Amino acid sequence: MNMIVFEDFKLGRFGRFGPRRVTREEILAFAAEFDPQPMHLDEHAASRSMLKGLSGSGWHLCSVIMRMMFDGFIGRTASLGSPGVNELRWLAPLRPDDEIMLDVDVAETRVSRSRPTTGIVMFKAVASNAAGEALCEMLSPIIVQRRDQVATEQPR
Amino acid sequence: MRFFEDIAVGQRRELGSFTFTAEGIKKFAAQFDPQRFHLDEEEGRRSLFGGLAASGWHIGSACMKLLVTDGQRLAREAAARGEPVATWDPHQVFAICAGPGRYWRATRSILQPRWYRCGPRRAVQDGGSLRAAMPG
Repeated sequence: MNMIVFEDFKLGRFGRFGPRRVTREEILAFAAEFDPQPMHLDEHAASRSMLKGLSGSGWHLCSVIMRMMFDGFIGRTASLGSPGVNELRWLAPLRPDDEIMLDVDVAETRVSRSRPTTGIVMFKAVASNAAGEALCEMLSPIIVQRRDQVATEQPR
Repeated sequence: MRFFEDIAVGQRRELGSFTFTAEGIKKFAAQFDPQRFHLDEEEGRRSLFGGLAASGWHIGSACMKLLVTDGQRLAREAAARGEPVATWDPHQVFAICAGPGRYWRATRSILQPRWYRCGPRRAVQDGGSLRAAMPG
């Protein structure tokens, strides 16, 4: 299997992924478990909220973005995980039956100082709805193995 | 900690705890973040995490749950005392602490409240941070 390694990530545009549809049922189920606020659970209460209608939790949208990135490339990448998220913006509400598209750029690549067999790839991801409106924007690093490391240490 | 004026820089508040079970970690991961170290103990041991680790998005979502539950508890208590209840919009950015662990406590710290520019009746906390930590 040809894994994507650190050296494969070049600065600039990386790819566009999706669409991924998010249903009302998914929005309600996620909200009930992790973010039980009225604007994520109840149409009537949501219509009176700042978001003016039922909307998915921002954490739900982030989780969907994560899955889209996994399906799009992280599942085929020699990823060792992520130290966190540098920036995260929820720009517009996620609505039931939105078809999410994800645009991913490589914003920065560098060899790790503390672990030179790995590199840090900084991704900028923007999730948009079918109308092209940006819903969420994040800047997040991922730790990726370097090519030599994969060749010598990944026989499994 | 209810209305904007009740919120001051430096305030800290413990929000409660959330238990991460191996089953819960795998269930979230299977749906949203199926990287091997979030799905399998042995893969987790061989990874940088040194064991099965929850997705960072799972941790963030669990912190959100603690935050919402705490807010609802405060609102109920205020209502029981006959006080007006503030509504709040949590569209704020929190620092996310990732890493393995089964039991986390979350603390919310206020770094900078400010008036909301677009609507003077509302206010936001800029750069409020939410810290999840394993006790002990």
